[in-house]
Amino acid sequence: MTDINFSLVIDSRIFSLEVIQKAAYRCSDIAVFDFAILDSHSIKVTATPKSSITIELTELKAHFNNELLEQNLRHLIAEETKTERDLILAYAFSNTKLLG
Amino acid sequence: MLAKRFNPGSVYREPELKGYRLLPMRFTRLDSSRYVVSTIVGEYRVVTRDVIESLVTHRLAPGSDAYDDFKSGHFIRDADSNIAPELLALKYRTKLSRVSQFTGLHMFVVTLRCDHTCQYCQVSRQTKDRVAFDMSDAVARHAVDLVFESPSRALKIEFQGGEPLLNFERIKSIVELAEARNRQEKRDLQFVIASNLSLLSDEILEFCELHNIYFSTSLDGPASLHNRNRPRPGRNSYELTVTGIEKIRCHLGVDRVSALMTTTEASLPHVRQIIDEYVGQGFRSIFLRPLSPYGFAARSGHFARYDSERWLEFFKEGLEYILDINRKGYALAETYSAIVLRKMLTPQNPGYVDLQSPAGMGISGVVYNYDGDVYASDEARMLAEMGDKTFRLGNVLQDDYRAIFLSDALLDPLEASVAESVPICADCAFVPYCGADPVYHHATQGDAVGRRLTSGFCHRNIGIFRHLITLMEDSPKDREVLLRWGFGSHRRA
Repeated sequence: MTDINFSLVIDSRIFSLEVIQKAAYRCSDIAVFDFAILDSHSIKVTATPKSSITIELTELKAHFNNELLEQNLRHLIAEETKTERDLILAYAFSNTKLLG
Repeated sequence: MLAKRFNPGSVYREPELKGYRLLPMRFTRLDSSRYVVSTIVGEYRVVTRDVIESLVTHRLAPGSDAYDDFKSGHFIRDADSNIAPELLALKYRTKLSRVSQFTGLHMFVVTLRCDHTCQYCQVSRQTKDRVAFDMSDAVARHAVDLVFESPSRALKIEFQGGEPLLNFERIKSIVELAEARNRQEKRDLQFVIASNLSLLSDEILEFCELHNIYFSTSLDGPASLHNRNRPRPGRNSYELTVTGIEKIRCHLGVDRVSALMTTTEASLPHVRQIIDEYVGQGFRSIFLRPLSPYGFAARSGHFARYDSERWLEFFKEGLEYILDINRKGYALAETYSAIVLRKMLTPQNPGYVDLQSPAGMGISGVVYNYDGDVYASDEARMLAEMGDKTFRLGNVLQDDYRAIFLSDALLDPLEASVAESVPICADCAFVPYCGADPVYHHATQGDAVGRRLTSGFCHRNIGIFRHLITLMEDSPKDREVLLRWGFGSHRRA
């Protein structure tokens, strides 16, 4: 019998829940995602292709894994640059009437 | 002797050995092997994912070309470049300066009456009832008061319709009223009439010469296409428009008339003929516009008839042809590409309403309808003609400036749709070039924020950004022309 979905158990010390959710959202035009927290470090993700979409499960899995890696890099950038981002915006809006 | 006067190069590399910090950046896939990585102000590089991984995980080698390139582009900073955040802030502030200027474009719908029955038109009326669909003197006076409440140094009043020349007396009264008011205000005041030119007369031209008024007209392509898109009694819209363009150029000057084309399904196979028509008429720019999803265009099924993918094919074919025309010696710019390139290549913001974040509605432009209703954008009034008044901000006869510009109908969608905080846009390398379009997303997805994965606005714009960057990267001969558009040198030629 052909599988209609696939499941992954992801270690949240490698990919955070936020990263997993963002990766899933990026794939939400082609699949429906369910999440379950199994224990303090394990998140189970189940992906089911949308009925209107023709895609092999292996292709969907590769696509999702690639998104996980990209979202993780974005997460690293956001974490490291938070201070700089705030600083740039504070400089940018200083001397305007927009900051009270 | 040389050694005493100059330090060895390695001295200047020492700060780099202490490591670097990332500065805010985003990345998005360009094609199967390359990514675009951009800073908060839109400076970009095209790299492989290996390079992004090295960059983000602090494995860039000091002294390498990649290190120097990312440092000079403000993607990273080290002990030697702590000024980077301040420089980025300066560019960011320059990009946003139009927001603090507030509303510069004020559109006056002086009548809904029109002599054309264009299939894609959302608003016009075939009637002789001047009372029902013409702007009254009272509405005009209140609207002019609101124009001068705007803090913007530059004010542009654009007359729209219907066909605005059908109510030329109101145009005259508004121009004279605004000029009288401006003698004290001393703003940079400009007038534009958006007209099909079918009613252009010597009297109108004389008034426009006296008051330095510009014209914007519609030219959809060669006669067969134009007349098919824009029917009127006599089936001679093209002939009247072309004659009008010539009259304005002779009477007022070549630069006093510009033209816009609207893409319909009938236009799609004919992009080269459309461009040839613009070259034949001596224009130096053409705006390959998509069909808007509003009003009658959506209701009559024309919007659904071709999707953004088909429109992108049309756009790419047209752009290739335009670039070829430039290489052969005729300077012709594609206006949308020029706007995007200016955002990509300079800290400036060209102020195009659809590519603003916060959205341009209300902030960049506002519409005073014939009946006094105020709308956040031209698209918002088209939506209202379909019965959806979500973006009606008030009425000039009942509401003052504060009530209109602080209305929930304006502030709520503006706040919710800031692209930098919208899912997917927040991480998109193209967001510094893009914008929020709450009216479009409300009209097509029922939500002012919208869902980017299925958004035609997103699909179309990302397709354009990817195409322009690919041409810049891979085609030196195209890059030369595109750089001229981006830096505005085509306008000075």
